[in-house]
Amino acid sequence: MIKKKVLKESIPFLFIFLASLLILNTFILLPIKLPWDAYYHLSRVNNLSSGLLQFLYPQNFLTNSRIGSITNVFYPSVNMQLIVNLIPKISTNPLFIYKAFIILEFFFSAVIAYIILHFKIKSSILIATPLSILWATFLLTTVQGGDALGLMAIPAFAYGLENLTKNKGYVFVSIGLILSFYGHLITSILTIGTLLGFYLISLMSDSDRLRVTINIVKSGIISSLGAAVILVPITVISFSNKIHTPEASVQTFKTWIQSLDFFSSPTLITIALVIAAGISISKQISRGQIIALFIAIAGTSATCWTNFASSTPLLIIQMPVRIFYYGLFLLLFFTMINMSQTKLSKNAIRVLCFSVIPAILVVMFTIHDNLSPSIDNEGHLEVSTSQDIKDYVSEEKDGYDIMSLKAFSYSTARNDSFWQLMNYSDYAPKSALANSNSSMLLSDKKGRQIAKHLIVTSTGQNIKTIKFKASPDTISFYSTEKIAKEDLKLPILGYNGTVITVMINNKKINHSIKDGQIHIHQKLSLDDKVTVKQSIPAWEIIPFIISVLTWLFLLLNNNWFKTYLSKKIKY
Amino acid sequence: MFSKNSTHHFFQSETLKEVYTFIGMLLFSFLLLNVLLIIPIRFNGDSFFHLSRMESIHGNPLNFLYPQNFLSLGRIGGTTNIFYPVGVLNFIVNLIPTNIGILGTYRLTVVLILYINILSMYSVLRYFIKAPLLNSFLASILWGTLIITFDIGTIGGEILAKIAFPFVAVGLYYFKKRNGWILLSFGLILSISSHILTSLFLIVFTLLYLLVEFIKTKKNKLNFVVKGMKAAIATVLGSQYIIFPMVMLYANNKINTPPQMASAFVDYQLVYLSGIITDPTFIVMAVFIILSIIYEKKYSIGILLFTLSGTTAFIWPYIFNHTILNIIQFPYRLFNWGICLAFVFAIITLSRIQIPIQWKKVVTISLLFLCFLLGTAIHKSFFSKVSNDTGYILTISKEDVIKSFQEGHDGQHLGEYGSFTGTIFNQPEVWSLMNYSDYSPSEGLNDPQTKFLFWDQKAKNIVAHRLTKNANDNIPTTHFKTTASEISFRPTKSISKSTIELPVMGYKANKVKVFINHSEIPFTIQDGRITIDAAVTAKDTVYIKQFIPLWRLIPFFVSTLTIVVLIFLILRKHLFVKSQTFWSKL
Repeated sequence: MIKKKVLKESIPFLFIFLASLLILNTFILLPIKLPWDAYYHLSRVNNLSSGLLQFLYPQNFLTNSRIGSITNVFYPSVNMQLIVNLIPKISTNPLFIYKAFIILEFFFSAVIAYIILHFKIKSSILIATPLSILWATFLLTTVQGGDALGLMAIPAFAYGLENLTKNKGYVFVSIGLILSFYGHLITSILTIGTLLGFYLISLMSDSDRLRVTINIVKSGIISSLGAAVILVPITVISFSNKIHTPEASVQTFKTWIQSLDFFSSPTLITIALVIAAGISISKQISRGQIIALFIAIAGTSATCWTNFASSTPLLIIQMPVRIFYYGLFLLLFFTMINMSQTKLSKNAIRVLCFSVIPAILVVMFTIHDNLSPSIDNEGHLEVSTSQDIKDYVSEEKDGYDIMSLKAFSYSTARNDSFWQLMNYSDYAPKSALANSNSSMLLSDKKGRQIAKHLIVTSTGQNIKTIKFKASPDTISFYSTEKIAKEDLKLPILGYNGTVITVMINNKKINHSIKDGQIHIHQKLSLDDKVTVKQSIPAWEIIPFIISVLTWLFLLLNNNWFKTYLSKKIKY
Repeated sequence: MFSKNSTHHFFQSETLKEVYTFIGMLLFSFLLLNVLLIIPIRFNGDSFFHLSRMESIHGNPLNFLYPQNFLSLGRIGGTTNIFYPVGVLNFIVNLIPTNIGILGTYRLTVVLILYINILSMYSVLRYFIKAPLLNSFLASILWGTLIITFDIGTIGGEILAKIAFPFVAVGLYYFKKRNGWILLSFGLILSISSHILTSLFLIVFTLLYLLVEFIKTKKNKLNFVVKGMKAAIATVLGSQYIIFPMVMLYANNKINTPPQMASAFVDYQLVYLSGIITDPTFIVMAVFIILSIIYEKKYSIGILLFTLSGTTAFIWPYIFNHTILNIIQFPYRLFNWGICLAFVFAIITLSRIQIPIQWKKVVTISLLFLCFLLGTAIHKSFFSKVSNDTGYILTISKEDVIKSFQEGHDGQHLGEYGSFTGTIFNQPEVWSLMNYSDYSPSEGLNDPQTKFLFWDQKAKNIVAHRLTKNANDNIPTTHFKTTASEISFRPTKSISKSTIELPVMGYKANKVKVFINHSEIPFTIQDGRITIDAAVTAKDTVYIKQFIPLWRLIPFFVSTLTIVVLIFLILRKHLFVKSQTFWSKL
């Protein structure tokens, strides 16, 4: 009996996985373009794929120009690491790993939604499966990269908000908060803001204020413990270093707002139609939906608050359009919750299942439109060659010039210069930059020597390095010239608080961190191999253990998990 | 006792609810237009034209009776206030206190324009159709949002005439059964008081509608004709204050009407299907029109015809390119008016549906959201440019304004400047930023197709405020000062006795006097300019004074009287449905 039930329950997961493959078919099978920040996330994914706990290493030695920038601390990587760890180790091709990651990210976005809809809301498989696939499709195609990883948490968070007045209502709010911290910092700020807004409204309108307050306080404590693995390293590094945060331009802040173009975007129109259909099926509009609607309006140009908020710390959200998307997806999931709580006739369920298909198709067109390679006159796909990439790097192009490159295939991604394509200055120590406004290292007078892997002597002489090799925790290279004993800047970013050892020919030597770079006082001959090695610091391990314990506590507190355990023990 | 209690209850809930609704609609208008209200705003050509029109009538409710505009649009005495009807605009603008500056006035005027549009729809639905309160509220804010976003680039012209749409629609709706003619003529007068072309459309539409109704009428055809005559007479009398002065000036002068390029008429401005589909306002209106057709299971053929005729579906613009029809400038206007009127009819039908209780919240929230989403168009049109480096809002400077005046810019350059702040209007030259040649005397222009006076070899001297001696010697002026009724200036050098064309437009039939240092001198009108034959020294001040002519005053009294009588009739003839029971009796 039980086995049969397990089998029945596992079919939807298989189905969701197959659907992910089907929906992403153009992405999987064709060479792809890497617009905007896709390359950046591709680099992060590849860095994390080198070890199960790679995210605990603060510096990224492996990708992103191989200069050891501290993205693993400032760009939360737990969600990403969890997904990356599941990628089968068939190939080490960067593009393969990226594609596999996106498939799994799609799959897990759907799975989180499915778990909430089916196991928590108790809607039937036939409703939960199409809705969760629809959710993942919308999510992964409308917002890119980091935002999507943060918004994956919305199903759990929305379910938590709906149950804020209940006993143990804190559990899913905390899970939602923690998951968004694990994915994207700005999204988690928006999540916290939403939670506080909900709390205020609860205080005004609900009778059981005490319980709500207790739940809020509890979820605050639990989520800060659960997110300790993210928050503690950020705090440690920002206090001991002056970090160059991503560019937040006032102009972008004032002008990147959702406007009427809404109506000319097929995906947004489809989302709006799904929401409208959901509201008319469930014949109600919940408090969550109303609040989500107002959040969405705040991200549009219907208001002009951005003009005044641009001089406040709110500037860190960079683009107010993020608020629109946050509100939109919160609204979408609240609508899905309402929909799956509605009793539907068999016929209605059939209509629902089949009307999801055209909605998904619309979005699949946009995947093809945005990412697929263009086609030349002879009908061949236009793909960048290795030579294109070499030329690109030697011409010292950087940043968003990457969009001028043609699509990337597996063979182009295997190129040695592949990791030199983009070199954001984000999270570099400010002192490593000549101009703190440079957004790319190559365009910065000081930063370019690091990006080009040059050793700088105390007299300002630049010396090329060769045999530059990088592994998850070490970078090694040789100098191309003989250098007398003097103060040398190595082409690796240095942060106070990280654990670094520098070795010459496997012999440990002293180093210091000056101007955001690792300095040594040594002479170098042509045969001297310089090795820089990083280790996981205590301020990564201890918060990690705290966070793991928090998760254990959350799971043990869950009735469903408890009964599952007790059953296991009985058998 | 019982009846007393019920009145008490009535005051407690119903009336109060009604009052809250009015306040709610005002709040909504402010909220929707928040972008326009708070930050410096950008002006494109037509918005600035309407801002200038407001400047010329603001401050005194009777200023609009002066035929010539001395205060804005180049300060050269053009007659836009005659040819571009100012009736409704004058009413709105003069509700606003004078001490908040013209930019503040503009902002509040736009809010009031939106509010009055909402009110006109609301009063029609609530008091003449007797729709439920929530329906009337939602329908009217949706209507207000749609038309304000529709016309967002040029608030002040066509949108004012939209006030008439609900009245015309309900007037036609009630024409046979009840005294709809009163509302119909009231609506038409409102429209003629706002925008001439829209009025032409409404009149043609009304005639076609009534013709079809007349053919369909089986009995009492005489009564139908009598009602039609009443409506026509009331409309003509009530709009005399707009029409008569227009005819008067047009008969006595050769007036340059807005230039119309034949290419624009037939070419790109036609509405293509793809254009309709990507315009949110069209989609929303179309959805409601379709809903009403589904609900009532019939539709008005006239609307469909009008709507389609403004698209590329019909070829008529190629055929009528060089005919009088050219005055509507762009055939797509027919589509706009048609779909708006169709929407009003749809709303009249839909607003009578009782929304089930469980749906009320859903419908309210969704429509509010839709309104704010549509409102994002306001940002697009008015939000200022932002500096790339500093992130500050770019504003137009005093130097920009003076430079523009000295270099003779024409109004096409408005988009290149930054946003306008209130202080920039302290600079009188700001009113020379725009100088359409519309409605100026033809003989004042070298080329009648010229769009801006600054483009024209002959007319540019007027805009630059220069005196023209013997038709070839141009002398700049200083101390150029204007009020609503007076322009004064000094020449920069002494001029011996000769014919001097003053930098003020001259229209025959106008009542104008010219003074040099307070002594009146005779003048003629040459080249569309006021011309004197005198000697002027650099110390002399020349004054040009205008007076309200009789042909402006008498029609004004006639029209005011007619409108008062119409309002009285509306209130007396039980068109104003007082209660639900009254409605059921009909």
